[in-house]
Amino acid sequence: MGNALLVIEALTEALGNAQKLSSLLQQAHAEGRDVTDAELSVLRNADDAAKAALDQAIAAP
Amino acid sequence: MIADHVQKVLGALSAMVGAVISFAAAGGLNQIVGARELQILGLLSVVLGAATTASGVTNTAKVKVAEAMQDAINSTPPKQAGFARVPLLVTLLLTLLAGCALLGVQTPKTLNERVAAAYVSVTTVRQETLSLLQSGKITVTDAKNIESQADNARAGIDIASQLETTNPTQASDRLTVSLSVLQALETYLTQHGSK
Repeated sequence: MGNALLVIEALTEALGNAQKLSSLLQQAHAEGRDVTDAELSVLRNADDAAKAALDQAIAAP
Repeated sequence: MIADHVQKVLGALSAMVGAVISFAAAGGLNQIVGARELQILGLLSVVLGAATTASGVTNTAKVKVAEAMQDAINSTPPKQAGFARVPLLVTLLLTLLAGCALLGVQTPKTLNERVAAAYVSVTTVRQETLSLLQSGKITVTDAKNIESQADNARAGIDIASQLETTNPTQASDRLTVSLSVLQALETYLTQHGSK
């Protein structure tokens, strides 16, 4: 059951990512503009954080 | 046993969310079906999903009974045919596509929007890899390989983002290559997540 919880957590994160992207695009469309560099920077930082977490798990004994 | 099935379903769903993000980033949703069709497919897939899941659980129970009977008469136990894997995956994908349409996930149109979707996609790949690693479904070597590919995709997305104003064509090409890599990774993760 522990594995199932981990998978549920991953599913939640994936759905959260989809929702974040949807909100970002909807807001840009509503304001009649393109996605800004600042918004892209936030997404880059999120990916950096995900990479750091994966690196840590890979390095763990 | 039921927990195993739940885990398979959730694992496949998790990886497929990422796959749909990549697919949407490539503009795939608009090219295939409209939101209305996706909603209809969603209703169909809910019915199919329930039937497939019930069938899978029932079949597993039947196999267990058969195994016990075979053991009792000391004959060869039957082979387990699996958990209706292909129909289940198709059903989950349809459900997910419909779900994204119902949730209002938009198809990225501009280059920056595609870049945004690509960043989300590579993040999702890393998170799914972490989950599969922690649950023991992939090895550390697998995780390293996936991360290496994800890093390459990320580098391509960064370059595409930088080229957006100076050379949009080359930026789009770079982004397309990165998205192809991410879609391949999502497919790999989907296969491992459903095992």
